Amino acid sequence: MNGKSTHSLDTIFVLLIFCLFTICSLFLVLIGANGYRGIVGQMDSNNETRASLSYVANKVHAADSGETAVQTINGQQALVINATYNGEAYHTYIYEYKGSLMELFTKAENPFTPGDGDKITTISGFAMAQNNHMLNLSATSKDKRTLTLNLFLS
Amino acid sequence: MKRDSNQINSFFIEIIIVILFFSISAAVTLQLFVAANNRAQQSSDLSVAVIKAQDIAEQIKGISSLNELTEELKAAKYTSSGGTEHFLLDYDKQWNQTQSAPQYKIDIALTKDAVESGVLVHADILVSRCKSSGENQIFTLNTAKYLSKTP
Repeated sequence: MNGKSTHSLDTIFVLLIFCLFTICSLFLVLIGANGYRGIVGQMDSNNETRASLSYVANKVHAADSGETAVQTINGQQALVINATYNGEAYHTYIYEYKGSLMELFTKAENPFTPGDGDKITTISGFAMAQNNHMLNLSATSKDKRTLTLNLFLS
Repeated sequence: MKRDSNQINSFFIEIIIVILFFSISAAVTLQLFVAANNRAQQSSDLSVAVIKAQDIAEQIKGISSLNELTEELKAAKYTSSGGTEHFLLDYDKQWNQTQSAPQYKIDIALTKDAVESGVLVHADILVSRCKSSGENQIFTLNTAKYLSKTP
């Protein structure tokens, strides 16, 4: 009788340890998954905001300042960079369209069609405003974080 | 009966070894998770710090006279020491400007050098993270703006 009691106690103890082991494993996986989700979210947010702002800033710096303007064409706000190559005028349009930051490079005589542009990155919001020599850019990520960058157009 | 007891004991020892191994693995994995989280936080801080510093540098490039302060600098705490003007901006965890318990700080040091026919304004922008042990430098950016005396 005493032997049987010890035997069942041992079994319960082993089962308890096994349960503890399972719970700890589950917690470890949950912590890992949570951490991974957070890191990916931050990376996405960084890509959406910083990468898009840096891209536009470099585009503006690469262009002559007098050739950059914020325009609204057919209800679509766009940053228009003018350039001349081999005597022909070209426009680069940078704008937000259907949740993406888009770029369209086309001859000046061609009409602006937002759908024709190339997707640069996905973005939740992108706003532009020009105030004399300052160009104000705002990018909003999926997690609603907004970064603002003012660019000086000399 | 003795055989059963031996079997249980060996299983018990096996479980103990497995748990020991699991504990060591869990400790290593958790350390990696924490390190990865810290690295992601640092990366996020650097991204925002670069944009904030660039934003201030561009605003300084946009000033046309010595008395003209940018919008960002107007809201800053001002101190002056040894010919250098310091503008201090405090930010909370979400990078919104705050007056109390800042998580991030931006220190803009402006030095004016009189040069021929004008003034050269040097700006040293330092972005740092506030910690209980002190401040951690995230990013620095130096820029200069020449202001001509003749408009």
